[in-house]
Amino acid sequence: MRRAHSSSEWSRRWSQCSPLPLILIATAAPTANPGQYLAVCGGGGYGRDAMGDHSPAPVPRLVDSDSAGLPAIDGPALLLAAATAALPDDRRGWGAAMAAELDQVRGGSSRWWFAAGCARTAIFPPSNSRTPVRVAGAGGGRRGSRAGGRPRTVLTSGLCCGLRRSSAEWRRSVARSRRTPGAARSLIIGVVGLAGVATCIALTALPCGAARGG
Amino acid sequence: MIRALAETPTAWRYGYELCQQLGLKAGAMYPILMPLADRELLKTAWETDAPAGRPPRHLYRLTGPGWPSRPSWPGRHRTGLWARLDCS
Repeated sequence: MRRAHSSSEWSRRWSQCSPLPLILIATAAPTANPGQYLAVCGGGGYGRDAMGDHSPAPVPRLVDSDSAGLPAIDGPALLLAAATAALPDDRRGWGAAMAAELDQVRGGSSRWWFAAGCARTAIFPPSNSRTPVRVAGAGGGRRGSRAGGRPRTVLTSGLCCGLRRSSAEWRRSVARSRRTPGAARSLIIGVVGLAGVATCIALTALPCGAARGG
Repeated sequence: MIRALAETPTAWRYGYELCQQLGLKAGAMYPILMPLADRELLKTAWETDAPAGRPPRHLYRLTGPGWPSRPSWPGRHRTGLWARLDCS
């Protein structure tokens, strides 16, 4: 029988083996204080980023904030962490930059607006004109599952990747549909949308199922 | 954004500070900053003297070759950032 892992063990595993900024939306056993397991912890192992400088800023990772003595993150920071977790490699430094700026924003609504704007940018980042864009970022979900990520974390990362892929597919389908008249247009958009959702589910559910089976 | 950065070209600016100065939302600012940094028109750095307990912030300023030639040079002699902006 598989042994249940404590949060600190998950934290140790992830901090050792995953270069991906990990996010924690929920724990397997919900607690009265959800922030107990959610904290911003430095040293994500980004290395040199695409901005050409080393990122010392913290990245969200799984830590037991109580034992680590770190402050738990609030809703806007959690939203931003979830969104930036799926950023492609060449954009990860920007996720840390957004998180550091969010730390300076005061006031509940201001923080939510700032986090929402950053999240939108993180999910739909502008294409990098200097390096080739990685298609759809599907590797994020796979890498998370390879690193032994928990299903919900993998799911969140996969959803962000899937959302980005769906968006790209939708834009492509709209461009095609300009040349396609009438009912075929809506049919194509619907099919592409469903394909995006199916891709998202496949990216998240299959690795989780394989991990459970193994 | 470029004008705001060019006002004090040698000073490092914070992202949230630029947001407030220009009245931009974060969702509009970062998509501007990212391509500028990609094209090396914007220099970025991390804050080195961040107080304990606060994450270091990201700083931005125009790159050296980009900003100085704006004031009085004729168009065909403009170089760097301004030349690229004029062409676009």
